[in-house]
Amino acid sequence: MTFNEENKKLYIDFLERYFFNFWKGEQKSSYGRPLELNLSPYCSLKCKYCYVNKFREKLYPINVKNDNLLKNTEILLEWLIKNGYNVGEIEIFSGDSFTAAQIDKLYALIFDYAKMFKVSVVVPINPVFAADEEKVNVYVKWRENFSSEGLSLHFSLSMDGKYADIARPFANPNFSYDDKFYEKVSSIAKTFDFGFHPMIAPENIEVWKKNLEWYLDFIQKAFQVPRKTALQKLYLLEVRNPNWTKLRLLQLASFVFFLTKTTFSIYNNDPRAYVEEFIREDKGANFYSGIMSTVGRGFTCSIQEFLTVRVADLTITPCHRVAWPGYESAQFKVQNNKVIAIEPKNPWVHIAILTGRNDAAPFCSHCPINSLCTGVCLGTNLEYNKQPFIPVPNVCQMEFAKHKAIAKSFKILGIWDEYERFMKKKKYYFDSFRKLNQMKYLLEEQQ
Amino acid sequence: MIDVDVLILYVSDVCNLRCTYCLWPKEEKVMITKNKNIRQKIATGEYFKKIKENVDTSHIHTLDLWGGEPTLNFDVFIPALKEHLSMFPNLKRISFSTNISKDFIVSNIIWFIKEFTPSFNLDIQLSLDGPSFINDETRINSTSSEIANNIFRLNDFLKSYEHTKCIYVDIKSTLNAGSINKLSNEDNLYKYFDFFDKCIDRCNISFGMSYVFPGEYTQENGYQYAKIINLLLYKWYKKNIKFKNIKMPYEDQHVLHVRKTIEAIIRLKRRQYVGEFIATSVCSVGDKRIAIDVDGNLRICHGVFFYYDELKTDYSTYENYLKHNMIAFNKLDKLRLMHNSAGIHNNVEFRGTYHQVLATELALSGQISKIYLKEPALLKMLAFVVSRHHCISDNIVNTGDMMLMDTSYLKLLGNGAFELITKYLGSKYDI
Repeated sequence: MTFNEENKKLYIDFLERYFFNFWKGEQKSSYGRPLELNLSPYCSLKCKYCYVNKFREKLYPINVKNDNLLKNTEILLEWLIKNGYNVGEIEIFSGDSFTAAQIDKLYALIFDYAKMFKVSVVVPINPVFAADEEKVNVYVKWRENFSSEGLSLHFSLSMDGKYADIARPFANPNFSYDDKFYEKVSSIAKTFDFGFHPMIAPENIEVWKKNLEWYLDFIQKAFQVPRKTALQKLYLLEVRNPNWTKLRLLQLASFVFFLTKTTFSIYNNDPRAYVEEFIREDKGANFYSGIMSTVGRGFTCSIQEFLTVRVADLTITPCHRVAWPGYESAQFKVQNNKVIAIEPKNPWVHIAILTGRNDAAPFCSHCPINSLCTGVCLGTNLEYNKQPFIPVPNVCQMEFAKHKAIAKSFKILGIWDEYERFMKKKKYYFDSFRKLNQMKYLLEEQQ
Repeated sequence: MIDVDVLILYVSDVCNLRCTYCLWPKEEKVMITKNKNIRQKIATGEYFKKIKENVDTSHIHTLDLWGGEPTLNFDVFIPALKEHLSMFPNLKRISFSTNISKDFIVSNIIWFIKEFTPSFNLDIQLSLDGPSFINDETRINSTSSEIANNIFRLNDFLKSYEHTKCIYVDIKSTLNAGSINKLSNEDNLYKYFDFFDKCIDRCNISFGMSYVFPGEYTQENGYQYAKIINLLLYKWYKKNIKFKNIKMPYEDQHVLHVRKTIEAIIRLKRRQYVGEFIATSVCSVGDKRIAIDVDGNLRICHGVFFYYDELKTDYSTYENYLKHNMIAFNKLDKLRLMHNSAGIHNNVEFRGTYHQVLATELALSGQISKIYLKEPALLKMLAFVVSRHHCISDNIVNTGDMMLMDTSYLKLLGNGAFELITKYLGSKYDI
């Protein structure tokens, strides 16, 4: 074999072991090996912090056509069926460019496959469709179809909230957010049983205190649930972009204190209930998960679970963000609308990412908060450092400010002792001990 | 202003040879145009002005001269450096590597020696790959006998020169996949060492073997290399085959590196020299060392001198975008360059982990020995030794990432050679 032939064999063998054997049911995993369909790069929103908005032409082939996306999805699903691959879960990751008819066709394709293998589907989605009755009806129809087969079709709503949506303007300047828009979202929230994953970003951090209050009110009203249940529907994500300036970090720290105070009061200022129920069981609306939860993956995002396929050109990429030319892992070779082979492109980066560890990464390996930190976003690193494994210092500072503010707020609000007691009795003592010690370090840190 | 100890200078963009393994682009027109610019900037002092603007030269103790073939521009570089020496108040050493393939190159080297000794120590590396069946196949436009004669001529000068104490000269032989295949034949291997033995006998200049890396080595190349190691460490050892002037078997780069690694691990066990262990990398990027081109652009190392200026504006390919990571055209670039180089240098763990995984995958795929699936300690050691060899500019070209090496080197070592080396050294060190 030549050098290139040997490399091809290596990568195909790797994919077999890492994904296909699981999909064939020959291997079991504590967590799944889902498939992510990375569909359209075009969107009805133009979010200020969105990497696609900034680097669209680098991340996708130019002039992506919706019809091609549907055709390629069909080709890919047929390949899965032909090989008997059960991916367990499909995540539909996409901008917002499909018409109602195209959405209908897409879900029909996915439904046929999902029914065959009992596959669940997760869809992170922006709320703009709420204003389009036709689209709402299509989605409702497919939710019912999935449900009738005992399958899950879950929508996680990407909406930052009435105040924080300043960071998410409409692509069409003729549209803008108003109370009517949020009323429409509210009116369908229960039907779709939305989860919410708003972004806390440098672009909107200054309004997040009042935004949090608004969001909790909104969910409470939409679902007619108590505030505690409303809080459980929130999955707060911090944007790991490099524009966290000193001022923004101070605003973040102030917000974190407010968040702790607000959520603590929802738990009646009871430290034990707060720590055991909110932080441990509910993962602290995701925002506090790093201070307690241990993740069994090398990198903290789901990059090591998913096989991501950029549907536009049927290319496997490490994730939707690490998808630049040169970083594409492989491409499905298609003939007569059928996949006939997988052609490796850059297997090295994919292998390194799927098997790497956050705490072995440069700088992270000896960082004093490496067990608390959400971890690097390889995409951000690639965009700004031009290297995926070396963290961007501003993002590190954001993690530092966030966790320091959590530690301080726990101390000031009287949660700390309970947190310490809980961490000391945890099953995986070494991990907890490390986290606790790093939190203590942050408490004492003066900067 | 960047504060460094070692400054790498881009002295030439042309070379009279066309070595098969050289990664420098050889487009005649580009080379000539670029070299013209280099010569002009050196001759007018513009280069030194740019250095002064971008680098704090007060701590620089070493200048490394790179190209192309650096000696081809010595006619302008020597007078210019003499004129600007006061910029480097702590300079102690100057080094360069040369193909010494022509008469006039020897003359230029001698001129350089006369001008800069005894004020400075000089390190001069002479490239000679071996007898003609090796050298003349790889170092195109040169002949083994011509290079050897030039080395003897230089040596004759050194013998009569009064300041030889501050001059260190060595011969480096670089082997590629083709050379390895040839040397796996016992007769050829003997001829190879015999050639250098006779050379050294005549000129008393030390010699070292190195291998092109990453080099696109296949599993088959790995088997061939294992044959060489078997001959060096076992068969010839038993037969007591020795050469008068060559330290067998440590002239082989890998045997030497593994030996040093084992010694470092032993020291680590004794809690000594931890820093040295961590820093054991063939590449010195991040080690207070930076390269600067004639236009004042900082570059992470000499390996990226040939990435040309069009990268400043041309982002049409991602390859350019990645290469740009290693060059600083502005202040923000400089910060990123220093940040990334520190990240690379300080991180043994990441590279070690990656190479362990890659070695495991290769073993599972049947491309290196299965023993690495059964012996985790051996696997870790292989990964560590390979990690030490990483070359960031080659990595960018081959894997798109400065920290990730491709499979080539693992296959060269992992198909018998590394097992033989560790077994041999293990018995020597009682481990």
